[in-house]
Amino acid sequence: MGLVLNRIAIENFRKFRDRQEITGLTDGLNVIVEPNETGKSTLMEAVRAALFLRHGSKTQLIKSFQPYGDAVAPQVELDFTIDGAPYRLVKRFLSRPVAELEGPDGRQHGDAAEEALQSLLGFEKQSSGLDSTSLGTLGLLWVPQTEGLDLVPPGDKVREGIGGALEGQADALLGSAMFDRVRDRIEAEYTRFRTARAGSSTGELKQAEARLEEAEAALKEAQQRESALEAAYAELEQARGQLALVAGELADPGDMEQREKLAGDLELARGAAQRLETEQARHAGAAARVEKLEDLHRRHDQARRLVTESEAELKRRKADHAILADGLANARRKAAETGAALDECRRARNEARKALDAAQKQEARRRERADIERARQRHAGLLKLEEQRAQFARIARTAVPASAFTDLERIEAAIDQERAVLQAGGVRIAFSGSANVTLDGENLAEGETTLTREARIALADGSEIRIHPPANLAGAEYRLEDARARHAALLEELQAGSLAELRSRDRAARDAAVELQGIGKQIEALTAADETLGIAAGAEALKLFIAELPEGADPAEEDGGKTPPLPELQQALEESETALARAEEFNQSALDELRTAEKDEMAGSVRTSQAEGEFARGQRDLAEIEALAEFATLADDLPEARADLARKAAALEEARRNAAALDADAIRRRMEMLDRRREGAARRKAELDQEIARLETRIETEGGRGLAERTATARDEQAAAAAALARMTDEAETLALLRDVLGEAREEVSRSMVGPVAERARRYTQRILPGCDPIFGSDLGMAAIRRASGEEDCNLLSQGTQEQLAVLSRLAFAELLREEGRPVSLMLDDPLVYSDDVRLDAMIDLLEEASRDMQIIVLTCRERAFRAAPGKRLRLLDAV
Amino acid sequence: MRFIHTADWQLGKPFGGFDAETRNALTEARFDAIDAVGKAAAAHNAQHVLVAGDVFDTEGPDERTIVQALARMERYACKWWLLPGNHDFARNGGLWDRVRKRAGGRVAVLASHDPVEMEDGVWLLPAPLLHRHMVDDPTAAWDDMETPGARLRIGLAHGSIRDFGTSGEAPNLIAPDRARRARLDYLALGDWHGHLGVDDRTWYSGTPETDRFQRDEPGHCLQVELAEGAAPRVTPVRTGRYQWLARSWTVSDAAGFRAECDRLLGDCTPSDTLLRLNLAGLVPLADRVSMIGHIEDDLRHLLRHLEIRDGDLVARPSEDDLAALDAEGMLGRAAAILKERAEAGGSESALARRALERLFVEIARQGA
Repeated sequence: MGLVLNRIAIENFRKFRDRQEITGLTDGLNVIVEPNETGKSTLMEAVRAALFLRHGSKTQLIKSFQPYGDAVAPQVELDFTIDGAPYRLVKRFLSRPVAELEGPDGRQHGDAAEEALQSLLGFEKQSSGLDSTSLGTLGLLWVPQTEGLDLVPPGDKVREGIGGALEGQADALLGSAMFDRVRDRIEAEYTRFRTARAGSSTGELKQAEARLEEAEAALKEAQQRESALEAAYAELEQARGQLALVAGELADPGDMEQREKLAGDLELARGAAQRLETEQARHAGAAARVEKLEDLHRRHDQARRLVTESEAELKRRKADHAILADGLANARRKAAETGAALDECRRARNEARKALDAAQKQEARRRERADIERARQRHAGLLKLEEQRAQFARIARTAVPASAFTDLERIEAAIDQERAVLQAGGVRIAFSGSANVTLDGENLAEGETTLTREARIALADGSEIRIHPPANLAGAEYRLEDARARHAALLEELQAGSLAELRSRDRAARDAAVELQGIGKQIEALTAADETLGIAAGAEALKLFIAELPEGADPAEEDGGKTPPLPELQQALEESETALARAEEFNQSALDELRTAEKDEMAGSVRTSQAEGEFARGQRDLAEIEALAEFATLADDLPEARADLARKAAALEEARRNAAALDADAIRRRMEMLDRRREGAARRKAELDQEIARLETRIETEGGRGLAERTATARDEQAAAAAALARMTDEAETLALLRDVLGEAREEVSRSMVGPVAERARRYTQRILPGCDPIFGSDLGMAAIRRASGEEDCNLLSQGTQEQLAVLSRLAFAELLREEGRPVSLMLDDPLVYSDDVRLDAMIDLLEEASRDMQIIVLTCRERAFRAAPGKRLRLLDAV
Repeated sequence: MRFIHTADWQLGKPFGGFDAETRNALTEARFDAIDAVGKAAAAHNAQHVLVAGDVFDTEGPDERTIVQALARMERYACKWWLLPGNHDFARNGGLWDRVRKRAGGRVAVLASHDPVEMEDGVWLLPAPLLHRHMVDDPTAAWDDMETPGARLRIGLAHGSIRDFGTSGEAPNLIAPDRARRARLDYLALGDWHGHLGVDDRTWYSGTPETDRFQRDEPGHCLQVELAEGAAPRVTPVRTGRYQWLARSWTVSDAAGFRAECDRLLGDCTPSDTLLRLNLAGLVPLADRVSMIGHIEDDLRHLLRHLEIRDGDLVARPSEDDLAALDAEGMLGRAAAILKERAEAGGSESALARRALERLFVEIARQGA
């Protein structure tokens, strides 16, 4: 809903004594540019006075509207439309005050007009001055110069409007006074128990905690002391019980009787022990005699048995020895026989070997002779080949060097060339006839002749014709001669008649060279090394070998050159070797047998001697024993001694039984034990007496202190302290919850109202301060802006920024209020004085944009800054 | 033959759960009870006072407690026969040795089971407790106990009668027909804090000064008159000062609560009354606030001691309460949050309920 001021007329208002009128204000952006002191602020004040101040009021403010020194009635007339509906307001103050509102519903006067205006524009009745918090929408949007910087929160009426429209919680913030009181009270109560920030215990709660802690400590201490006392009681009881037992033990008569009886027993035991010793000695004597006799008897038996046994053994040994001696003799004979056979075989083998050796030597000699003969033949062949080689070498040496042929051919070519020159350049003369004509003295033949040098043709008549061929032929002639001379000289040097001859010779020489190579190879093959004769490779070695051969008869003739029968001899040798090996084998085993027989015979002989010795010893022992005096009566004495020993053993057994029945040591030990027990009991009694005295003293001392009552008291106190703490904790918890919930409620309500405002403001502030979010307090006042770097309190921003934010937040409110159907119009008195040019331009752009939806009136003294601003431009004084 | 039968003095009981003033008063009242008993003896011309155990609250009372007790007893002409009970059982070097050291001729400590001839032909058979808990019937020996030339046999014991409000496992149990079996003319019992006749010869005297919220009546002792061949004549005599009242009220509004309070106060001596009050019911929040005011501003000051347990008293905000708060914007919202949590159940709901109540109290206070 738009509120559009169309006309403002003022009269008798401050500096405007005369009637001033501004008409033609449009519903968009209006810029009124005037220098300072022209009355812009007065104009705004007049408009605010007309709308908000009651005509009948005579407050100081209203009186200040009178022009200085005049008692006239300030008057303001306004023409405006609200959503197109036209209104006209006339208001005069002080003298004959008037309020007159004319609108679509007719005309109203006086208070009715005031009230109609109030409800039309949504503000509260103003008492003394203008209270911006109760001026409603326009109070917020019509910004006097003095408030240009303030980021004032909107008044209750505005907030009511915003909140009411948004969430239907019109009274949410109105109740805030009560809310604050309740919250303060809860906070105060809470801080009785806990600190406001950290929530740690304080005041009464802390005291209660301390009390509980103290009570618990006291209880613990009391319980400890009491249980210590109780333990002392228990110990005392126990000690007394033990003392009774010990005393009973000490007083027991049974122990004494037992001890006396033990003393008697001990005496008896001593007697029995003595008797036992005696019997033991007697028994030992009898046992020794029996043993001695039995020993003699045993020895006699042994000697007798030895004699019998050794005799039999001797007999057996002797028979065995005889057999072994026979075996030995046989073995010796056999060894001798095989030895002789072996000698014979060895001799035969030696002879066969000798014969074979001789035959082999003969064969070797024969072979050597054959080899030498072959060497001789090779030598003869060699000599022949060497002769041939000498011949070919001679021929080969006549080879003509290749350069000679080249030189000759070149010279012949030169001759041909020079001859051709002469032929071509020569003077051809043709002679026919038969007259004697000589050429250089010789008869000139019929036909054509070519002259290459000066010639004289002598004619028959003696006249002479000199012919001079061209002079250059003389050189050719000369060169031809020269070439011929060189040709002849070269051939001579090469000892050849002609080139053809020379070539033929050369060919023969090369063929001879080829032959030479073949002969060389033949020689090489012929003079290969002969290892059998020790001849190295090469012609020289062969020649040397032949040269060194001794002169004389050929040994081949000594043995007739026959080949000896080597295989037969070889076989004879092998046969004799085999026979020898067999003979050696026979001889070896005969010798082995002999050795064994000798050893066996020796052993048999030794055993026989031993048996003889044994037999002799047995006979000797037996004789010795039988010679003893005791031996004579042995048969009678031994049974008698045995009977005596049996009697003694019985007596000993009895003595032993008696002694065991009364063990003196055991009796003594038991007596000692009884004594010790008694001493121990006495000692224990003394200890217990002491212990009891100690405990009694302690109980008397501690028991008198009323520990149980103290413990009971401490227990009660602990329980009471715990209960008190629980109560108080409960209370603190309750308060804490209440405190939190109050905060939560406040936050929630604030959020629901602040949200939409903040959202709109953000759209505007982003234009001027990109990346910045405005943060509104719960009173809808802009409190801070949030940048990427963090939050910044608005009061700390630069004045320019604060001023811009003030305008922007008003734009946001205006937009919101307009959407909610409030009559809005933005009037800015000298805004943006601190803004730099860039920001100012951006702000003017924004204002222009916003003016498409609502009327905006800018009053400014900054002509230049607003020169480029769009919108309608008006002058205050033009209207005069 | 006349005597006073009393028991369970519980001297030195700490009463730690009370504020200091009440604690002192209650402690002092227990000593005063001795005077009351002594006066009763004098008034009824009784020569003997039989105390059936638990003279002291603990086996190790403070020295001052002993001295105070003896000093009070010495003021009267009668003979005081003190029996060790389970709280003050007898043992070597224990409490009773301390008492004996300080006691004058008027006080006799019965720490053994030996019968005593109180006066010519009147035999007293004591059954002192020698341990806190005794498994065997401490009075069992009486059946065969010789009392040469007895005109009257009086038993004095401390413990529960078997099958009498305790289970069979409890210690210090006494046969219910002990008086008949032991040919007693009277069996004076202690341990049970109210006075009670088990049969015409077997009596609990109760404590002379009540010490807990268990029964309404104040403390008594018994004046007993014995004659050969006749049933004893037993008369209760009030000795107690304080009344310990325990009440459970289910209320639905402040007016009902107030009426109950008035009735209670009319029936007792408020300054000598200790009240434990359990409150239950569902009341409007405003009434709850009013009740709190009444309790804190009136009742608490009138009574000797007041203990309120109102965990089961649910203060429910009425629609009006909430509507009134709705106008309060943020406060209304806070109340709504708390109400929601209180109704959600769970561990926090009780806390939320208290917080809501508190909120209303504060708003009421601010509004006033």
